[in-house]
Amino acid sequence: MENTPNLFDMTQLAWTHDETEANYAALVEHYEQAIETDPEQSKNYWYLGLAHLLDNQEEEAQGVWLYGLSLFDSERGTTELAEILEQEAQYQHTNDRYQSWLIRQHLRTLLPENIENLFYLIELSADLEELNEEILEEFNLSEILQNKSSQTINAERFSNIFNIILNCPSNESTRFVRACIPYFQSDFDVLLQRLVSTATFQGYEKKYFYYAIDLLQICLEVQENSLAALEHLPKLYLEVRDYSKAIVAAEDFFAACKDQLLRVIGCSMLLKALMASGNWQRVPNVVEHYKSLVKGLIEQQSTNLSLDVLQCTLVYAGLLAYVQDNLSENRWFHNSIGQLLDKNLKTNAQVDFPLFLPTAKQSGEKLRVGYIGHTLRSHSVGWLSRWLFKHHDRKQLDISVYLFNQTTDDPFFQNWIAPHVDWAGGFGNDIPALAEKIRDDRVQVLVDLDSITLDYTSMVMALKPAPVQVTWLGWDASGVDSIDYFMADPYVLPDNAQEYYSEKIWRLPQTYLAVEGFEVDVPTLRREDLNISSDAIVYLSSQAGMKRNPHTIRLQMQILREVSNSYLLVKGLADQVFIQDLFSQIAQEEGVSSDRLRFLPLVANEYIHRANLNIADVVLDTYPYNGATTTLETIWMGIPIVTRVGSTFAARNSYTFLRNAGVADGIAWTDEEYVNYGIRFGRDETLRQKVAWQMYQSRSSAPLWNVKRFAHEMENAYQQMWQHYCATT
Amino acid sequence: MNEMPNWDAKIETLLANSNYSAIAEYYEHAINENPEKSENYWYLGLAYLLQQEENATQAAWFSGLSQFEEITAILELTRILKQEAQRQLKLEHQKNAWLICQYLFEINPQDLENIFRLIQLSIDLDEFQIEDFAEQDFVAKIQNANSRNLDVDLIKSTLQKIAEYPCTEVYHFIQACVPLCDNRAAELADVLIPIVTRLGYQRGSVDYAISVTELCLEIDEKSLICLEHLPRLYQKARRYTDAIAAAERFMNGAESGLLKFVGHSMLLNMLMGAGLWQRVPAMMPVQKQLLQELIQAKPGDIPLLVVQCAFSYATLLAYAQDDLAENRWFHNSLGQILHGYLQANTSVSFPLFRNQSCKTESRLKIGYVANTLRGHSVGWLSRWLFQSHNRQQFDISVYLLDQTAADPFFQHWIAPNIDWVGEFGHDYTALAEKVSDNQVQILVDLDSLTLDNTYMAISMKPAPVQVTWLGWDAPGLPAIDYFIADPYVLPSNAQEYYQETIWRLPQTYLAVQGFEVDIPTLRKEDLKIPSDAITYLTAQVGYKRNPDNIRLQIRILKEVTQSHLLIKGIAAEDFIQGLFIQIAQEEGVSPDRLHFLPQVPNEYIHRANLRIADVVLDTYPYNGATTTLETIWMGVPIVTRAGSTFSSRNSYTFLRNAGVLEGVAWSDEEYIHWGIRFGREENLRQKVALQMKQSQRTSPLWNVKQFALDMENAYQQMWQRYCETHI
Repeated sequence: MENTPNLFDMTQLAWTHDETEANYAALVEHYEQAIETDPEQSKNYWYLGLAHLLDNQEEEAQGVWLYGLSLFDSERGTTELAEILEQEAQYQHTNDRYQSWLIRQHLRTLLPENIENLFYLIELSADLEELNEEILEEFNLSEILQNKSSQTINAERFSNIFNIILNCPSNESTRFVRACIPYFQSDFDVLLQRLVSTATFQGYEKKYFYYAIDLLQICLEVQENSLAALEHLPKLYLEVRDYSKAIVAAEDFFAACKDQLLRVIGCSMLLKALMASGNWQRVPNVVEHYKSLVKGLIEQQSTNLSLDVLQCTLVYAGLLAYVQDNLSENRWFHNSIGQLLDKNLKTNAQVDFPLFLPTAKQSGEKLRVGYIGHTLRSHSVGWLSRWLFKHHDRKQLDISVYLFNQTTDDPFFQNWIAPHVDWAGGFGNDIPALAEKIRDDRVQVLVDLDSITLDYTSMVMALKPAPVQVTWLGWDASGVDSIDYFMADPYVLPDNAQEYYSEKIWRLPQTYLAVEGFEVDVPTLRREDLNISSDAIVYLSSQAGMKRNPHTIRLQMQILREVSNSYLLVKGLADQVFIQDLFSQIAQEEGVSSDRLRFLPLVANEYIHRANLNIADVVLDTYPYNGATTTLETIWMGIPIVTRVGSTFAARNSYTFLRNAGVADGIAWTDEEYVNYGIRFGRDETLRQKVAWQMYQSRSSAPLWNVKRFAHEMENAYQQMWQHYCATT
Repeated sequence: MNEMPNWDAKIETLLANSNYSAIAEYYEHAINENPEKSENYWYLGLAYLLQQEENATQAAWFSGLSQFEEITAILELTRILKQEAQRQLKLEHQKNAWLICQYLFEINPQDLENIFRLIQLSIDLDEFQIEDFAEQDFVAKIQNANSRNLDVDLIKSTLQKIAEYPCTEVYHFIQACVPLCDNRAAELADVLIPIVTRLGYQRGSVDYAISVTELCLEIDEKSLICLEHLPRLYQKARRYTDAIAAAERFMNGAESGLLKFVGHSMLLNMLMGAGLWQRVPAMMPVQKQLLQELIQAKPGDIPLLVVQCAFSYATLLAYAQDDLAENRWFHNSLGQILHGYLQANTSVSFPLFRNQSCKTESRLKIGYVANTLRGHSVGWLSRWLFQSHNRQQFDISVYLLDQTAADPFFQHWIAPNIDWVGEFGHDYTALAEKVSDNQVQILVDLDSLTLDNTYMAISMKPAPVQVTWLGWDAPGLPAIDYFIADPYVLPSNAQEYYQETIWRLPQTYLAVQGFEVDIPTLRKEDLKIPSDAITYLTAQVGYKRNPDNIRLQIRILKEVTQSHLLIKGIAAEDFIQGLFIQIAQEEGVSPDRLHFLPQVPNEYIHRANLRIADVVLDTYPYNGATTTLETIWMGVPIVTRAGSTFSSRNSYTFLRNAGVLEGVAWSDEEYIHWGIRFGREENLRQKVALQMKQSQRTSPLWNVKQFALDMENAYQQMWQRYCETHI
């Protein structure tokens, strides 16, 4: 021992030899000589190998060690080598983390079950951003842990490792978490909490849906009725489009809920899962149950309700729009929940309310407009709103964008939005940070693009971070007190709508939305592929399961029955079995052969989807929840559409778009008119041509496609809103 | 000192075995024995260097240099290193030579010979980086060098390598080399021009190519190769005025009648491409006269290059006149002559193909030869055939000239749908031999007359059945058996005028599945056109801007009140605007009604913007092809003047195959008449627009599956016919 130089010292020596780079080559030479002088000294081999390794000569290192191990007693040699490697790894830990990682990898091949070393490796891998599924599987920590007793592991250390692995979505992580369950024996609540928060982060934000589901399943293994876990499973199953499991999970959650407020949520989730899957047969009963639960909640007017959960209740109230075209009742639900939320917020909120700071009137300065949303990406709201951003008058307006669950480096955002705004930032799901940023930026008019499609946004709006708050495009108005205005136009809401809205309805002179058009790919579908002759009449209905109200399907079947040689193409997100059953059953009831139905698969992207629209002679819109993007695309492609207009925002979207494209034919105010228009379009080629031509011609003159004009109207509205605010405060 | 230093003779064996560690040992020993002998230090260092132990090298040399008189020592070391570099080069140990040259460079950065070797070696070893090159500032080193005596062949071979890296730094380097070559500078053009023009035409390094070509012309103002390429390079760079001036310079400087002919053709080409059509009518008779003289000249009197040039430029006729008989006569005659020349002047014996079995068990081998299977109109239009081919019955291979298979378009649209692809650069002989080796049964030429290398390969007849499709009209070459047409694109008596057998597919000679369309970027109000005004659009390149046709368009405008004409297309904008405005003024139409549109970033936007037009006015005698297809796809009525040639009947066949009869004019009067009717009658526009839209579902023009079947049927019948008549 005495006459062997310590490598540590030698390294120091090497450092002084050359100031910028340790001279490992010299060390190699040194130990080569040492071996020559004293070939019996085993440590020389270990140090020589180590010097090679540090000198980036991995193969040589392995060669030397192998050779050394063959010369000496293998067990003693291994122990010696391991000690030396451990020592140097610790030295390099602060010096050069990559070298430390490399040494530990070799240590691992010597002692694959050395937990301490594996822990270091995991920390280093995470540090070096090298941790991935492959590496985790190699380490095989899950199996090694199962054979260890828990006492041997330092709790704090273990907790850190657990966190690192938990946030590396992979199958091995799932196995590892399972293997760790015994270690949490004393404190399952901590485990559950960590699993649920990781699952929601990895699932909703990072889009690792399956991993999130696996984690929540582990929660349920630990605690059968964990509400926190049950609550997220239906949503995650819907994200991965596993509708049957979503329904079962929603039923489980609903059954587990005891609290009145949670029961509303559970019932809503079940309703949503049923509708999204296209399993509409069960919807009516569940809707009635839902309504009575909400009414009970509103009657109580409790002031100790969880704000988060109340937000969710508000979000789920949106489901009514798919079920019924009842303006006063639908708005009553929204407004009542909105008021309850406001009441609870004012009683319980930890923050100042309202959040915004008094702003002095400034003349000559640009109006500061903020947009808040989670959909400025490849999402219908992103596709539709991009044109407004493009045409905003940056000389008059200062535009900033506040994003939830989305980052600014999203390619869609980078391409379409980023070049047209003054400032943009992503906030994950940090509600206070986003709200405070809006306040600090002194945004004057805050435009909410999500309405109630995301509870975070709705929460921020409720805190009122800006003096004037507006809802536009994302959805119908939320009913929350803190929203001042809801953007509409002369058509999308009935004349008497204000009676039912808590927000002030701001009607733009022509249209509440204009777009410049749509990108279209080459069609991939021809009639002969579907076994449909070229002279047949093809109807198309392309919508998600949520919008497949059976009542409208029945009207569509009645049209089909009256038009000979006609077919209906059905397309859209839903459970294919449910949807086909639903259509086939109604077809049978209406005396239409199901041979006349064609269920189309989803295509690769929206560009091809649009190109394929041209296969249809007529598009049949849904009711009470109309198509929005779909209707715009249909008009753009010049295909006549039949829409049933109702009293709610959701039931009047196609109506306003058609009016703003200058098309009057196809707008039905009753079920009979819907069927009649469907039949007429099917039978009357001249009518189809007239409408197609109107749609064609609309591109050059209609308000629907005149974004410059639309942007101007929006800006006018913002200015007037601000003036109105200044005048009244 | 005068004797050549050398490795010690005693280590010859070690040297032969490249045992440099033993050699190092030897010299260490030698230094111990005799520390006064300087060269031992140099050789010791060198021995280390050849073992890649550069630290030891430096130590040895440093120790030597500190002991002896420095200047002498450095000279000695330099000589030894130079000699060793040479020796390593002879041994083809380029890596070693490169290493040594780097040290030589450090010792003496002004040594030009070493610099040139260093550059060559780094290119050969694939270590060359433009950034490093720029950093070294070789240009200044050349300019400041004391000794400028350099082997010109070394300069030439270096430039030949470095010219492949188009950039300003390399251009400046070439420029700096010129004075070094003294009276042999003119030789540089022969080395450089073939490389830079290739890069210029294909890789988009056209500015670089122009700079180098201009530089070579400064050296030798009569350099034929430079004079010939310069107009084409300018045209490629869209410097039309320069292109015309350069073509005129070439023509005026031509010493022989034959070169005058080349110059005349070139000038005509540049004028038409630029849209400067005013000068064209007077030149056409001269051009035809010159062509005729060439055809009647004795074979052997004319260089191949001139025949090739005549053959290629004969295509200009199609833009100038709609005369089937005369145009085909020129093509056929020139094709015949070219064929004879090639046969007489190539080492390959024609025909190249091998006899093949006519048993029908295996898949029919189809080969496509092209340089346009990329983002080029032929690529866009032919991709659907590749996608729809029946691979169970056909073995599809593709032979690429001057194009790489790594091209993203090729990778996306073609590569997944074929069995084999080969790249041949511009080596048409290798291509022909490969076609023959692969025993391709039917070779389909997608370029026709658009690339000379393609018809050189085709002329060797590497496949028993050879077909021209899509790229252009038939080339008139005897080696082509069939020209693919349909019932409309050639008149019914056309066979009289074609040397190729016309193969008429039952419906259409081309079908496509459609076009990708972006979002329009242009609205009528942007052009200050009221939304109810009638907008005509003509979108074509300068070549197709025949003034007679423009006059008809202006007359339509005159008759339709409140109408506007949008003009778009690649050409010299000033010339095109001048041409239209002049004719408008002559016809009494205010130029305010003409709108010249800029180019848009890509074809997707171009297509989207087509909808701004109420009516498209096609060109004549050279119709739009892709443009017409796009117009029909977008549902915009089009007026076309149909004639007698392939080029003047493309829009006609496309409209017929989309089921549209309205808008096809057989005379100038009809053209004007349709133009006026479409402008005045909204019902007619509506009817045609919706017919076009409807055609997407049913018409042959968009039915790619049926079209592929028809093509495959044709291939099979051609093969059967070949078997019946040849075996």
